[in-house]
Amino acid sequence: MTVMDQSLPAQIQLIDQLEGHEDRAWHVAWNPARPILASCSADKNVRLYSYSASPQSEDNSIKFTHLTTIPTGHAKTVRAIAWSPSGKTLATASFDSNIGIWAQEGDEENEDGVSNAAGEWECMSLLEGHETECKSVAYSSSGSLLASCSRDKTVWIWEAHPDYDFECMGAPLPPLSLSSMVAHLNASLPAQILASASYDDTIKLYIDDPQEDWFCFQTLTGHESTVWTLAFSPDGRYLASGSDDCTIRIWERVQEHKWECVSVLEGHERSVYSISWGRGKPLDGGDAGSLGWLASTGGDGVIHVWEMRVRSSEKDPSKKTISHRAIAKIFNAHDVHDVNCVVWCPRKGSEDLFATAGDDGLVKVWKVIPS
Amino acid sequence: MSSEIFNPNPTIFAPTKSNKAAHAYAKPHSLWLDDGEHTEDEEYEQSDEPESIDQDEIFELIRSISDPEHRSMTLEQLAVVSAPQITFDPRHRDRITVEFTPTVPHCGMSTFIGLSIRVRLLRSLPQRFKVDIRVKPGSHQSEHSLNKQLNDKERVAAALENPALLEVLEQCLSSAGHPDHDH
Repeated sequence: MTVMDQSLPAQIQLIDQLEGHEDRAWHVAWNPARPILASCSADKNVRLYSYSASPQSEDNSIKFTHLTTIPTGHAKTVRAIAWSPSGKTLATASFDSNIGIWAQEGDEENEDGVSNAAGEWECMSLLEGHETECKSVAYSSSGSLLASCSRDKTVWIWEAHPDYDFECMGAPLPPLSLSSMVAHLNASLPAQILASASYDDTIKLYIDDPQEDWFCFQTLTGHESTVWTLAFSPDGRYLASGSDDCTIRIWERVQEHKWECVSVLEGHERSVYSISWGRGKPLDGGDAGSLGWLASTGGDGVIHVWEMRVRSSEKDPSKKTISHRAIAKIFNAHDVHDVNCVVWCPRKGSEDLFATAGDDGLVKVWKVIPS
Repeated sequence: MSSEIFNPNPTIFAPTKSNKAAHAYAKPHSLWLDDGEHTEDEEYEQSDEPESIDQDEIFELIRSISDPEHRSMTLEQLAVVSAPQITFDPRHRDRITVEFTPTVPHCGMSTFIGLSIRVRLLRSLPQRFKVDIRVKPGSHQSEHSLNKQLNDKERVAAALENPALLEVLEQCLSSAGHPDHDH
């Protein structure tokens, strides 16, 4: 049974429950350009849903409709998915060690994009090279680069050329320490930084040196077990990480190439599998100090929503400090099951909406509403 | 699977007195011996209170798993598992830690043994149970990495998609009292 914490300033309301996966649902991704939500699962399928985002929907009347199911043909679990910034291409990362690139034949700019999306999605390219399970994929903000990571302890950067031609840039990134394993990654949009979270309890930050190749400029240590998930703040100045040590750490960019841990968020009782950092909708009017909302979830089945703020220090106003406040919490979000993924809706006006994927095979959509 | 022999001459222990009560209880009321897909006992379905499961009942599920290196012997006979090594989180009765003792500190089969215990419990216990599996402290030279791997859900999920590994796993589990019909 789903239980809500009533003492907090906001509630988390279930908007829709999307059934259809026949096995554990691992990941969900909102299309950045069109009102489409995608999910992937151990059943090797990707499911696409459209949702109505009518501007006057003051109530909770958002409706999700199943558009199509893509039988990916991956031989094993589809672990993660990522939309390109244009929203036309979807990448799938599979335990079969391959990355699939999916799009629709002759997809042109079309007003009626959603009905189009119900048509057939084809595998335009299959990126091979990883030696073991692929765990994550991420596009750069321009869509010209795609990063993938695997249990084989490498991160690969692929350059996207026209006609879905992907070229691997140089050697895999490079060299990670022997004990390390990349578990998840995220491409930061404004900062041009690639971050990877690792099985060796660290986070590695990479930049693209114009003179050379990508290189790791800092390794962040502090977590005491596997780092499962990463999320940059909307302004790119902070990075949040979630770990098997049950904590979330907030890292701040204190210099151009220097990040420091500035905060530790506690509250989960088992592994933190997923976090998402969205713009949020400040509960008490427009708040310039707000850094948006951070949502977290994991093996304890709990979803936390935290409001993140930056404040000037009282002693030294030029010094800024980050603070957080729990604004909503829900227990047993997917009944007794682990929750593997949480992602905020990027759509303007729907910043209070997020989706989750669980071991029960369900995808759920939730809304944060003031108490 | 490696053909290397890690422990050619294991010590064999007499099984503890079979827990008749738990066994007799478990067989007819197969709610947690079967997967959820099988018909469940209505008597238990109707109860709002989740039935409580004790140490002996969990032990009953794993004691007869075959050792991967010495297939004719069970984990109990080799003293790899025992009832006292099963503990409950005092605040959450459905969070369990199962500790096991590799027969030798360099045992290369330990991840496999841990995986077989995990899969057995995954298939047998009600879904509300969260299980942590660990080797007995000091019993294995790679204790930390072993524990980490056994509790990494991605690694476990990927392992179960490996047909060769799954085949051996099914063989070791087939002795565990109750054949699994699914997958």
